[in-house]
Amino acid sequence: MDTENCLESKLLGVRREIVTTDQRVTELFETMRDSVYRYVVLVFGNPSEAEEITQEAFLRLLRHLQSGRIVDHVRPWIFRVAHNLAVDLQKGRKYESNLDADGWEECCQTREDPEPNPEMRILQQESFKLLEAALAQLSCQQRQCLILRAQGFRYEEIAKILRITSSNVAQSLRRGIKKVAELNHE
Amino acid sequence: MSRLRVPSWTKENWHPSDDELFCYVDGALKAGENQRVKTHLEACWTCRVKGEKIQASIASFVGLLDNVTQRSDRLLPPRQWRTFDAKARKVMSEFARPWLVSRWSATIRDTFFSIYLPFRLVGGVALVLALAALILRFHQTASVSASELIHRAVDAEVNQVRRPGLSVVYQKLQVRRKAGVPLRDDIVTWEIWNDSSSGRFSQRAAVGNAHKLSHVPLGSLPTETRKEEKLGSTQTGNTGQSELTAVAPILLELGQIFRVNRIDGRKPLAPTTYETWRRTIEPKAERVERTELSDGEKALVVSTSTKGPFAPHSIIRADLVVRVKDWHPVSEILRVQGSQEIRDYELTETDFGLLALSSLGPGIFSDIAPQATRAIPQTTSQLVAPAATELVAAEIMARYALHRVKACLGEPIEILSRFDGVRVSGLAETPERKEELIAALQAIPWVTVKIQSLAEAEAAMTTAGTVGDSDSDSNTNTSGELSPVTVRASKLPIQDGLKRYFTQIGNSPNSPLGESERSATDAHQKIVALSSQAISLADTALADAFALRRLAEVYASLNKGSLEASSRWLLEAMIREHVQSIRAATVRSRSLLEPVLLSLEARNEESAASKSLEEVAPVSDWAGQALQLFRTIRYMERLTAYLFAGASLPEAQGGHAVATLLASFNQIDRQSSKLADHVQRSSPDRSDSAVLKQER
Repeated sequence: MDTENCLESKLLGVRREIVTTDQRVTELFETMRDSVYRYVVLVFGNPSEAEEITQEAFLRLLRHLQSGRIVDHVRPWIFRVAHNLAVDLQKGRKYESNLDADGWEECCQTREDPEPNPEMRILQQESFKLLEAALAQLSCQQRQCLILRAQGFRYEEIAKILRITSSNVAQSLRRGIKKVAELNHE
Repeated sequence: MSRLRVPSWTKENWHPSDDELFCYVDGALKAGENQRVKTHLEACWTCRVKGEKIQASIASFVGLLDNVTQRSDRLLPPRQWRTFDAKARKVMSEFARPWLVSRWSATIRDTFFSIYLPFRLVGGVALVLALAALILRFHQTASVSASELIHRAVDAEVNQVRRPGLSVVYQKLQVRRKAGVPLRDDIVTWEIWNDSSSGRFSQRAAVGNAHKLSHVPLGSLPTETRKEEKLGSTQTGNTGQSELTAVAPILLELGQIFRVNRIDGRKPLAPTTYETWRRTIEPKAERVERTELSDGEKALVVSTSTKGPFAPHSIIRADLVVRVKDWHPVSEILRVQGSQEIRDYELTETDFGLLALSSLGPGIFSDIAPQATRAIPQTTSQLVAPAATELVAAEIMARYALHRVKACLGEPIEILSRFDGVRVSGLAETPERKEELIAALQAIPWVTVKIQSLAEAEAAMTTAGTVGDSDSDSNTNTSGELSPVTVRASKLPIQDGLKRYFTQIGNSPNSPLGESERSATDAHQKIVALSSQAISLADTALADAFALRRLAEVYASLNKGSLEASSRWLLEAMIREHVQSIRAATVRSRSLLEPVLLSLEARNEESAASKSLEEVAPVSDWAGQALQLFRTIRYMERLTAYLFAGASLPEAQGGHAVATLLASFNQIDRQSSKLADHVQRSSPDRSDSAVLKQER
């Protein structure tokens, strides 16, 4: 997070120097892409689309800055753009897409495991299943709120990204956490 | 002694809501609320356990998520970002050669956003205001109201006859009648000469090669039609008139329309004529629109219409087109109720000019004598004495010019009418004021101005070696009218009452002791403020009353009907504005003083609650009413000075001064209304009614 803030301030500092904007955006992309991708894939599913959405969000940032406009808070801005892209994509499909079994499988298979260890692999697959089960209990908004909160966003920032009120954020978080806890007890 | 604390059950039983508790655990509460919940949790087991459960739930979710996501290599994208660099390069290539305009706009934007925020805001607001001013300026011509437009046009008409030597106003009109069956469209050319120096009038109508001359305005035409008369030789008088209408029957109809609607037939296309008709109708709907003349000049159309039922020849609607450049009327459309149908008469000016008498062709005025005789014979060819009507018109113009710059409100300016012209003389306080007065009076024919600044007058007196105190006193119009005011050093006659009033208002019943001294000081300040405001308002009303009285004295013997339309309009405007000013000052004075005076009256049991001023005999002429109003205002001013400045009161009415002052407000209200109504009624065109109603 500190690295991202540092980068953000660096970007703000040099945003008027158009020449280096692409380098800065690339630098920002390398730092933030995983967290954005994780949010998109956990909330909306479909890893391939999540990768495209994440890239598109950063490309839009590049276009935005190149056209001389300003972004005051880059991190929430990127998440908001990624969220909107994912929502637009879902609207096209007309149904909500959780990370289905194939998606989870794809995630698991495409990962690189430097030390293949059958025991660890089983444990991680268990974790995936548990997370999958927990997220499946939640409504879309609860899922979005919980994952964004876990990414370190404050309530106001979450509210801006999702275009809802802060009290809605608080309510979604509380109910979401309650559901997750109930699942754990079971 | 310490107070017993009342246990607050609401405080004791309070528990944070689930959302509040969750936000507290999640660190999302505001500082004050956070402290409150924290304090509560220290005491409340239930809530503390709930909070701990929430904490544990959060921990379990984060642990779950961490298991999956903490190791970044466990959740990687399918293509592992391999396409991003290529896409980024493509985006950059789109921006490789930005357009010149976009580069400039980016530079301007960057420069603007690099400015310190407050300066940026101020700059932005200034820019918006400048743009708004620009837009307003662009639309300035369309923003005039109907009244304002007519007012400007009338001013322009009055100013145009100020040119010495060019006394004849010439107007050539094309009159067109549009009507359905059984009438046919008709067109006639109509020429009009108005000699403002002698009041003579002449007109000529032409259709094809036939043309006839007449000196009788159309509005004075006899009611019966004379279409049966045949064309004859050119003659003067009614015979000529009938022949005129025989040449152009449309003019016969116009004459009837002018007579029915009380329009001056000598000036069919003039703002004063339009205004005269406009004020006679009630109710009316008005609209001003922009238009463009055939030569590309900008113009405004004022449309006035009224509601029916209409008598034959009544004007239903009139559209006057005024050129914006010089506020000159160029055409007019009259929609008139005919016996069976609606007719439109269109009067379009095709030529206009101010001419010298000597430049006129033979036959225009040669066969009629001037209406007003010259006061003295001409001594030289250059020195021409004005006619009586011209002299009165010049004097009224001078008074109106001074009225517009508020020089009629007690400034030592004198207007003297002599056989050879009008002389305006007096003193101005500063050289700037002198210039202003001279500028207001310039270009009025037959008016000579001799105004000195105070410094000039003093220098002149020093040079002459005489002290002209008596002269300067005689110049001040108002000072001679007032009896000397003696201001007593002792307290005001109603000082105690005022003090009591303001102390009661300022103090609440439970105010603590020790405040009394401060209240006394406050009350004193309020008395001083009230007194100065009351005196100031009374002075304002009195200044207007003096000006009104001067008009009444000068023009009492003059029949307003005998004045030219423009002079009558100016005189009525002055009367109207003075009455309005008096009413405004009285209303303010009344609203200021009435609560105080009524509270004083309530204590004074001996005084009559319904005290009224002496009834004065009703007078029928406007000048008499103006003088009555003046006397009442002067009495009101004296009473105000007696009550609020401690001035002496000549009459022994000090005991009833409060009640009398209250009654004087009522009387001023009645008398000013009466005068306003009288001006409205006495004027042949009821010219004041519409304006008074509008401005109320």
